Amino acid sequence: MLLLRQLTGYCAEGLVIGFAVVILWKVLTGTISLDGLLDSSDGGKRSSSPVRMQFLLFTLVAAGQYLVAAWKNPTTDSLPPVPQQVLAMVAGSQAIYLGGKALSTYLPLLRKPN
Amino acid sequence: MSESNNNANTEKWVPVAMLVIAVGVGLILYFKGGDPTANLRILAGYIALIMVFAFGLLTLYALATGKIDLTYLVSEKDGQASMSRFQLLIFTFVIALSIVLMVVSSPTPKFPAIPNEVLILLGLSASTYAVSKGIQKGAETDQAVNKAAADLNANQQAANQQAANNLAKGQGAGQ
Repeated sequence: MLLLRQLTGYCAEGLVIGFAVVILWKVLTGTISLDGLLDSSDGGKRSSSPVRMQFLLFTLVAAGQYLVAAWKNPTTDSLPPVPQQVLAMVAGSQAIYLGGKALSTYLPLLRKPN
Repeated sequence: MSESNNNANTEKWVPVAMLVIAVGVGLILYFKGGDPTANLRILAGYIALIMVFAFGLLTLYALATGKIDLTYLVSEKDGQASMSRFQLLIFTFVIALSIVLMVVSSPTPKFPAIPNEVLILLGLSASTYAVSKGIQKGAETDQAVNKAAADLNANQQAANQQAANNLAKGQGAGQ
């Protein structure tokens, strides 16, 4: 039974790593398009957006912090908890992103005369 | 043509290989002897593992060969990459890799407990995506409503103009 459990773990590991590698490879080769990831479109015109940049940075920081926490202590019975500060940071960053998106989407509509 | 034949062959061989492995495990357990109920449980476990692994392997193969198109995995309809989709993708992989790491590292492998904060993190990310979609759809609906109102207005003006012309013509004929 232990062999079955270990095999299940290794198969799951292989599949998750396989999916991650395929997606990373497709991102690096440009098959998965990241075109305009850091751009905001204002009335059809694209420009680089600091709001998206902060969103990306906070996402990468939170993801990296979590991976390091899981890597440091992998033998516990539970996933490492996410600190409240990190949750607040991610939520704040998302709120800024959504606020910016709502503004850039609706302001041109409000400005346009009927 | 030959590439599609290769793909079809691989898709056929994976289930056949998995079936052979399952039969092999069954035979080993049968000839090993011991408690039949316990052997049946182990066999059921192996068959479930083989099935899930085969589904995963075939999906992975289809992703790698481009049969499942991932071009717009993180993109919107207009082709621009979506930050919220990208974030959801990153968090999903980070949590999945952490779970797998813990399962593999544990001396007695079992599924780890998932703290509420992790669920909140994934929920935040998914709701950002949903709200972002809502903003986008709302703007599209507003634009469509504005366009319909403008069309209606233009049609009404044209009809009024036509009626005024007809009236003027009628008055001219009467005189």
